[in-house]
Amino acid sequence: MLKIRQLQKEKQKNQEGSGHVVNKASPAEIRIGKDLEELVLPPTIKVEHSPNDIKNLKITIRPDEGYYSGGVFKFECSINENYPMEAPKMKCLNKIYHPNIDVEGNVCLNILREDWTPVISLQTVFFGLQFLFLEPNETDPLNKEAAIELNKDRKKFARNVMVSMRGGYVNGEYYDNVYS
Amino acid sequence: MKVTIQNWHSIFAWHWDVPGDEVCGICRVAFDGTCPVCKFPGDQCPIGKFFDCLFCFVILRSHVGHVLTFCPAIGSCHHSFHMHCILKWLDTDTSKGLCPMCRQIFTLENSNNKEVFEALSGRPSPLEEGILEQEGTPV
Repeated sequence: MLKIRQLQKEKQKNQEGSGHVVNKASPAEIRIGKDLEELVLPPTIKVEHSPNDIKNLKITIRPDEGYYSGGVFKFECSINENYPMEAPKMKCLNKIYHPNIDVEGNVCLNILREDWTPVISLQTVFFGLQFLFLEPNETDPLNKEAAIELNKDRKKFARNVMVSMRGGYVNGEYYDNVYS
Repeated sequence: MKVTIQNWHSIFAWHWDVPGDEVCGICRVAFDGTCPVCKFPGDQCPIGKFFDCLFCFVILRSHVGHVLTFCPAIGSCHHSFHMHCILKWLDTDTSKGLCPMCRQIFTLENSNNKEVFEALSGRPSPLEEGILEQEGTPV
């Protein structure tokens, strides 16, 4: 037990040194800290946060293949005190044409909703998010028009995505330029 | 040579007998430490007025003074968690009583734990709930 206490103290010191965790870390913050430490991300995903607030993350995804290749998509990830009992909340900051992301930026991803379990880490969530850009799916859509198009005519869907990503109108709805 | 022992200090170390990588899958903290809800092993445990939390349920004293010793919650699926962590998860609606790792109905491997589980959570262990569900609704 002495050793555990000692280890804990050392760990706390280290954490203070790196400025990673604030003095009184809540259970949620401890877990987020661990998740962030263990992150191994491909160059297509970037995660940033301010040093004293690890509960709000900024995620940038740059898919290098698929319909959305070349775009830069920004997300805001807010994690509440109930993490990991509750899933983090994802919001897309760009207005994009995507079957699983609506024009308000809400994301439909199973692991963020009904399939969430507390053993899922932030790493898994970020990969899940990237997966949406590589494999948009027409089942359980948030942007129904996009989903119908993807189901009906993949070529037309791909064209629509191209138009929307450059900053243009698709079916009368304006979408943000994501090439900047 | 004659040696007379005048005084001695015993030192011990302990370790949970837990399979796998030995951290709780939910909070990612080692079983030998406390779960993050309990800052220190001891009496500030928020669960159950009849119980003292020492290292998150290392030793629980029931209201009749009977001492139960048991380990972290090991499921019959062999996934283990801090008792605190798994109870909190099973209490949520999203859990549906399933193990967070394998999504099978979470039941405790050890029957001794089952008693404590029921006493703490104030409801039948998921084992019984699971059976009831299966009987009640055709799958």
